[in-house]
Parts: sequence; C-alpha cells; structure tokens
Amino acid sequence: MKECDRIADLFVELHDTQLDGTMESTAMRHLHNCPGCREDFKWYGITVQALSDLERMQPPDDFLEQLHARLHAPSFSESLLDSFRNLFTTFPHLPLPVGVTALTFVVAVAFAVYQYAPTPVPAGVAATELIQTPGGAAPGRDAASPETANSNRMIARPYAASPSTPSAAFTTASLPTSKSISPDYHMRTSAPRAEAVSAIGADNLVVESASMDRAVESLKRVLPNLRGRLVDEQTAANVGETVLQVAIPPNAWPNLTTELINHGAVEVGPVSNPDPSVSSSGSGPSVMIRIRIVTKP
Amino acid sequence: MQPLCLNFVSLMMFSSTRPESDEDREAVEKCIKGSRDAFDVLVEKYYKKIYNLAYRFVGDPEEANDLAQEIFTAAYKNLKKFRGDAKFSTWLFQIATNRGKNRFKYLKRRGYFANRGGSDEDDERDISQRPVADYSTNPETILAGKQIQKIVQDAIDDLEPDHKEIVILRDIEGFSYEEIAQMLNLPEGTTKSRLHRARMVVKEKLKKALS
Repeated sequence: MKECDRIADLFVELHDTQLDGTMESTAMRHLHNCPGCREDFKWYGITVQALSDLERMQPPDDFLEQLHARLHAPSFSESLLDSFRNLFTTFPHLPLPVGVTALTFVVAVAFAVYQYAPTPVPAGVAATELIQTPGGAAPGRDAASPETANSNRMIARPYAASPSTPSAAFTTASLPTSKSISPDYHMRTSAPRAEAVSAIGADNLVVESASMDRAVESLKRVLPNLRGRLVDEQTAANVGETVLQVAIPPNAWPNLTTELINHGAVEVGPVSNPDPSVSSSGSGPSVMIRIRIVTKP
Repeated sequence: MQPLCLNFVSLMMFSSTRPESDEDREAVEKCIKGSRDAFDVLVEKYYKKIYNLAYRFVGDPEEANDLAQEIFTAAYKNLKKFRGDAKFSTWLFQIATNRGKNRFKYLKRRGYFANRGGSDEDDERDISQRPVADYSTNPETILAGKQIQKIVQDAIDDLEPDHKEIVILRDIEGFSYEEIAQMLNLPEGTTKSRLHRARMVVKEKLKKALS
C-alpha cells in the first residue's frame, strides 16, 4: 500500500505528463500491475476532465451597466462633502476656509453656551418652596439671629405639634421649580396629620418618598456632606413610616432639605425648626433633628 | 466611490517594475492616470471570466453577479496600489479569489449551501428523469450533461475554501501553477499538493455519485 500511496501522490504530475522519464516509467509500470491504482487514476482523469468541461456561466446582459453605475455613482460621503462645499460656494466671495472658520466659531459659541448654561433641575425632583415667615421666630430660636433667619426660611407651617392653621402673609422665595414633576413626587398639600407623632419626639421634617429604602439611603449619603451623623432609626407607629434622628451642625439645617432634594430621592413636606437640644459628639456640638419618612401610598 | 486620481509615484513604480509580457500594461497606465474608459476596456476583457469564477465560488447566479461587481469595484478602488510586479490579470484574479473565498465562507457560515438541495425545480425534474449512463463501458460519454455538471458543482461546494480556490483556478479557469502560486502567495509545490488533495475529494464524490 505504501507504493500505491506514493504513486497516487504523483497523479498530478502524471496527468500533466510532467514526470521525468524514470519516474514516469515506474509509475506506469505500477499502474499496469495494480488494478486498484489503475482504476483510481482513471477516475482521476475523469474528474479533471469533468472540472474543465464545466459549462461557462454567462453574466447577465446588464452586467456592465450595473458595474458602471456602481463605480461612478457618488458615494454618500462624497455627496455630503459636495453639499458642504456648495453651501459655501453659493456665496461667490466666500472661500471655503472662511466658511470652515465660521462653522468652527459657531461650534465654539454653542459649546460655551452649553458649558455656562444653568443646570436644569432633573425631572422627578420635587420643587421646594422656601417660605419665609413674616418675622416670627420659631420656638426656641432668636428671631434676630442669622441662624434663625436662615432656619426661618425653611419653616412652612408647624407640623403635628400644632394643628392650627399656619399664619397668613407668607412669601415664597424663588427656587428653580421643576415643571415636569414625576408622578412619583408631589408636594404635600394636605393638612398636617395630628396623629403622626414620633415616639422619639416631635418631627422636624417630614419627607414623602415612593421608596423608603431609597429615601433612607439618600439621607445617609447627605449626612457626610453636612458633617452630620445618623443617631437613631426607628420604625414609626404607622405602617410605611420610619423616623430617623440625625445630628447635624446648627448651620447645616437650612441646607439639609436642599441637599435631600438635590440627591433626588426624596421630596420635602412641611418642616419645622430643628430640636434645639444639643448633643455633643466627638466632632463638636450638633443639633438633633427628627426626620419622618413616609412612603407615598 | 473615490475617483482615480493622478498618482505619480504609483505610475512610476508601475512603469519600472511591470512584466514585459503584460498585455494590459497600456490600459492599466491609463487607468492610473484617471481614464475611466481604460478601466472599461479591462472590464470588458475579464468580466466573463471573473463572473464564471465567482459563480464557481458561490454556485448562484445572483450571488455571483454581486460578487463579480464587488471584485471589479475593489480593483477599481485599489488600482493605484497595483505595483505592476505581476501581470494585471494575476492581480485581478488574486482579488477575485480572496473575495470569492471570503464570500464562500460567509455563505457557508449562514448555512447557504446546506439549504441548497436543488436550486431549480426544472433541473431537478430533468435530473431525476434522466437515467445515469453506464460509466463502466464508456465513461467519456457521461461527462456531458447537466447531471454531471450538478454533481461536480455540488462536489466543489463541499470543498474546503483552500481546496476550492485551487480547483477553480487550475481546472476551471486554466491558470498555470506559477500564476496560481503568485496569486495565492504559495510555493508551487504546495499549490500542486493542495490541488491533488482537492481533486481526490472531488473524484471520490463523483465516483460515489455515478456508481
């Protein structure tokens, strides 16, 4: 069989009559003596003949027209470039470099406008009303002090501790108001609920959110920015409410609500002044506040 | 489509390195200078061969038409890169073989050849009605006919891409071993051994079909 394999490897040259005299004689002698190889070589020749006799396939009649159209049709990028050029050559005295410069200038101006444009409040973030009392001080606070003035800005109406209607003559400071408030968020307009009194004291801030967990996490993210800390967390008497007690520096109180809104996970309801009690911690005296987080039904 | 532009360097290179026997030299020089008519002349000369080669790669008239168009488009775009160290026809068929092989692989991956049991209903009826001739007495008489054509084309379709291109270039298109070696960038010995293996595969399929 080794001899047969060796002869089979010579079929290409044998068929093309490219073997030298000695090799050709050897191969022909083997084919004469070996019926298997002889048959194999016969089929080899038939195969080569069949391949070369394959019908020549003709292209379609419009092949050249198709090719011509394909080769000489303007490409999309070319037509775009031509359109760009035409834009400037319609003004005969405006050379292309001037047009490019003008376009670059427009792009630069647009970029500058974009960079310095005021950042819009994202949709879904509740608007915050800064309501200023007509000068009345919050309980336990000196109205004349700057801290009181700042904290008064955050007072809307007393919550829970006083069921009476808020005093008249409120003015609203302006803040960017989101026009498109997500349906998940809304301002609380209903009257304070007299029954919602936290077990750990009167609430200073009530927050409604569609997700309790998100609201709590947002608050925890806010606290380091205000140099505050979470003191206690308790589930309130009502289902879907949690009360958090946090300690923050006194001057951070006005920023707390803003920070909560900026983090986007909570909205703000009626507020009252923080608890004047002072807790000492390693970082200095802080103000204790109670925040009730209510899951929006 | 980027128009051909004057490429002085490529023209100089082509002029200095061209083979003396390249009958397409003049047309290619004009093409490089930007003459569309010169390229049309080249297309006229080779488009039937290119189409036939494309057909043997993909086995379908529409695919072959698309492939042939693609081959000429590639040649048109890259003509300024033609260095002239080989004949233009060698270079053109090198492009054709590469594109054909790639297209064949692409179609094979998509199961194109597996789904093509019989592309033409009329052909199938003709094939089924014709008796297979007795090959044992006169095999040469059975070489003609659509039946054999289809068997051979099916056998070619089943070849590996490397074997397929060799068979097409040598046995169908009739290129020399030297030209094939140049096109495929292979030694001549490798070309012959690949051809031998490809022919043996087709032989077995043909023998089995006619037995």
